Amino acid sequence: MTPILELRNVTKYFGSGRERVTAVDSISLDIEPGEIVCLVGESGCGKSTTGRMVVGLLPPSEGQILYQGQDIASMERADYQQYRRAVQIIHQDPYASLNPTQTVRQMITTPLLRHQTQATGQNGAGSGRRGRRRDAGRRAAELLEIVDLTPVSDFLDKYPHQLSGGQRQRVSVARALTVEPKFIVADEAVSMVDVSIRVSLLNMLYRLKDEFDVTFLFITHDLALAKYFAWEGRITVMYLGRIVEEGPTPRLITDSRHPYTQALLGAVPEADPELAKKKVHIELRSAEIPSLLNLPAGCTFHPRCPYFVPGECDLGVPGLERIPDGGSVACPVRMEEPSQIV
Amino acid sequence: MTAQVADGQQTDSIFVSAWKGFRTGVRLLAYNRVGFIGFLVVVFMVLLSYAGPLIIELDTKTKIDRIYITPTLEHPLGTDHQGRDIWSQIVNGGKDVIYVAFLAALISTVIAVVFGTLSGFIGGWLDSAIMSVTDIILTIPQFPLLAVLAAFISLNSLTLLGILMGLLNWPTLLRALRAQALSLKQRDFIEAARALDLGVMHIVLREMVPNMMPYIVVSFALGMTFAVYQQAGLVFLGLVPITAGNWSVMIQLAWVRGAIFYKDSVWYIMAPIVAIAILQLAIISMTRSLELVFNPRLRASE
Repeated sequence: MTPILELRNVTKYFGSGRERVTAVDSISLDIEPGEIVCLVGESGCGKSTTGRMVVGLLPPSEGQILYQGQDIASMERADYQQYRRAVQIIHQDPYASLNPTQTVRQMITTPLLRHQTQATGQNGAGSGRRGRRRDAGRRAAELLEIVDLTPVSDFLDKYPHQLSGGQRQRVSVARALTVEPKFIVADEAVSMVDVSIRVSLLNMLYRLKDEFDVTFLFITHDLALAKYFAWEGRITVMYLGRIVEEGPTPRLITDSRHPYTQALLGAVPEADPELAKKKVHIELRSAEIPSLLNLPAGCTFHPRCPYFVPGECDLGVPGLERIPDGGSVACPVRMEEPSQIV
Repeated sequence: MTAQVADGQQTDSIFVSAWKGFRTGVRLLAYNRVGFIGFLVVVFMVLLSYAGPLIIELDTKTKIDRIYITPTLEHPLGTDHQGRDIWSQIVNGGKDVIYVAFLAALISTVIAVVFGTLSGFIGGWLDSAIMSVTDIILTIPQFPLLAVLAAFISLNSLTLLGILMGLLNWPTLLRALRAQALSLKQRDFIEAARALDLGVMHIVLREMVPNMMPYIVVSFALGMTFAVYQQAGLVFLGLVPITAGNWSVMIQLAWVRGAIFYKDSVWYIMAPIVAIAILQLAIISMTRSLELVFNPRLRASE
């Protein structure tokens, strides 16, 4: 099966000369249809930049992004438009992602009317401008129901400022669903929502995977969320623009190899004190994240890494190596060693 | 089931929703007291200038025995150097001033909105081209330019004057709107609209412009006040050979006839000046309320 989306050595620079910052450094990623892939990392590690490049909002500086085997940079106009609609993004900030001057109804019917993709429009129920409007209205109501904004009539004529963060995020999802996307980039989609709402939002997103065959690229800084959402999928850990480890979620959570992944796992708070006591914490040598303007040579994690081997880690950039039990790791030092931390 | 409920709500007729919008608009206008008074005065001035002439006829008869009469019941604002009623001239002289100012502000606002937002949103060579033209126009001193133009074109038509002023007054507003478009462009909902492939025209007109409306409306009002002064200045300097009576022409005529030299003639020169000042003050006060009316956060029905 061809991957629905493929990144090949994608690099993104911002600025030029001395001010040049490499936000994403030669990352490669294959995503199969129906998969859930999580992109995890600290803020500033390039995960959102990657997401925006996948949606086509930012062009990569180097490398290629392929949608269903085709490079999006050299697509025909019609193919590009198809890709554009097939790949949608859910933004992090529910307060900035909806136009404050439009009602929910306007936000959802506009793309429906423009693209005429609504299923109800094809059974001949509506013809002419009026009929199309009615179809769009009906489809909008269906979509709101899908994202659990019920009763629908309470929400259709609301402005964004009359809705809560979670409700806005649901409207964002409904708006993305108007074009029947095949691929959704959820960029920290739940991180600004009240904790109590998160799980139901995640479950709603998860349902879309089955109902609409949506493939997800789920971007988050929170490994606990990644674990919950992508248990059957894969997690890719990014650090300062590079992928340091990736693999099936259960393996990555229980048996992580890269010291950075282990540090992230150690930072996830556990509610159960018994579990918290048993948890292994690896001691980082430094809590400072290096500046993107002045990256350390070799493995960018080496100034913080407890397993630092002088003369090895600070020389060459480690490549991603496959490991037998699934996934790959960019750390030659830790690869062969047993995962238990002594 | 729920879909039907939604359909039922949609059958709100255009009249009902228009009435609802009007009611909300008035409620928001009244929210700021100064702004609301300004709004009422503007409405009054417009009514006076457009409906007033139907009732109060312009007094054109020269009456030698009534030169420079101070206000009486018959002549509420006294008479001019030919014994004509000043009040009737004020009532009849507002129409042209408002018309020219409105036309000029409308043209310059439309130019600034369309090109400012396109420039900011699309960027690249289009942005450079638009900004170069803007900067060139911005550096030309407008008043001398209009003075020179007036020497070549006979500016005897009000519409022509309004269009000319409109074609020169847009650069400052365009620059401001471009800056707003640049900041809006970064917002997530514009990105979402781009991802949904809604098209440039939709994004500019439906997503960006509504978010700039408070600013645009206020700029339009300020553009009107600027155009009022501009035309008054041009007429006062005698560069625009408009003979039909309006407030600016009245000031110029009063000045030329030496109305500032006599105690009793002060009414003649002050009446149009005060009329213009009241109109300007009212428009500027009104902007306070306009900001509220076009702020989407306050627009929600209840």
